Amino acid sequence: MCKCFVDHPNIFVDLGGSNNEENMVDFAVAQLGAHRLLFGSDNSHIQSIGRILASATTEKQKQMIFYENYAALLRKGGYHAD
Amino acid sequence: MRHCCGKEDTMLIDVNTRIGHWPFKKLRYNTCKTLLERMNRFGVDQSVVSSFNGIFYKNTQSANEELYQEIHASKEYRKKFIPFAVINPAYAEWEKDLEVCHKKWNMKGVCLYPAYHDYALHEPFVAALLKAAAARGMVVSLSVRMLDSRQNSWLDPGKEDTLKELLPLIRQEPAGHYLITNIANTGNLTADDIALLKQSNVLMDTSGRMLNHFKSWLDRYGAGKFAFGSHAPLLDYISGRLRFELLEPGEISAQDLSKIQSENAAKMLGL
Repeated sequence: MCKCFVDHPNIFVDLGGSNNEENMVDFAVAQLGAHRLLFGSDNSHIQSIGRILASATTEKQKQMIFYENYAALLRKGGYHAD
Repeated sequence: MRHCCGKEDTMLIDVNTRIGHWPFKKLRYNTCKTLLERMNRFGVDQSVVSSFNGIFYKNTQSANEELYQEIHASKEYRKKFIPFAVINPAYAEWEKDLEVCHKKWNMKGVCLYPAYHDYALHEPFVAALLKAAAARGMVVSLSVRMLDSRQNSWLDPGKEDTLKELLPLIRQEPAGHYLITNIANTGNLTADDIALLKQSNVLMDTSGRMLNHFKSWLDRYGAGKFAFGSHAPLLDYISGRLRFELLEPGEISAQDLSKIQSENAAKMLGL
């Protein structure tokens, strides 16, 4: 799915869901960049955290995914999360 | 990072890993070298490992030999990895293959893949294999599923089971030792089924998503029935640990945590 969004920079992707195949996050980072990924759980909290902790992302990229990317989006709309 | 959540001095045994090739997607961390790097990064001490290739080769023994050779290429691999064979009991001379895996290659268990090897669990040769494994003290490992069928390749024959569908095997050979992995579908069982699991030599690994509410599983079966498993490298390396490491101290005792982290596995594997 991420491959479909490569040329659409206004689309952000959340990483939620119950399926936690290895390499999903790293694949998404390679396709879209960490700046377009958002932490989400789809009520599968364990896998949604686990797949990010298990990924090859840097600590900075993890911070972006878990918080900074979405906070930046909210800020654009005047909704300050910090 | 030594451990993702646990204490530095925690002993961890992962009962559910594989190396080799999965023909439907590119894998990372699927060699002894890369799996060991993964273990060292996340603080896992030992891993039960079998070969993906045994799922897809007609003659599974070629894959078992590859696994043996890869592990025996390094003293450290021999210390870190606990090899399990892949046996197809519908294939010729599996009894001799099991003998070699057990006696010559020191494999502690055997993985069965009925969906990929195209046989039904009620076939008489399955009963014969269970009996042979029990006689040798080898653990029988059964995976409820390999991958989520919603995203499977159109060429992947993998079918998903439920915990209940695997229980007739345990009834058939109650003297056996069983490892049930990746419980990703319903865990609903009758009172008789629950009693069977409690009284049998069964460990369930923590890689399956159905164990997300792990406390309820602990309350039902007790900590003696679970072992840490990652299902790596098909599933992410961490979620299988978070299921028990994120429990609050009031939800699990230190003693029960140790059972799940390594003690139950070590006991079943005779380590």
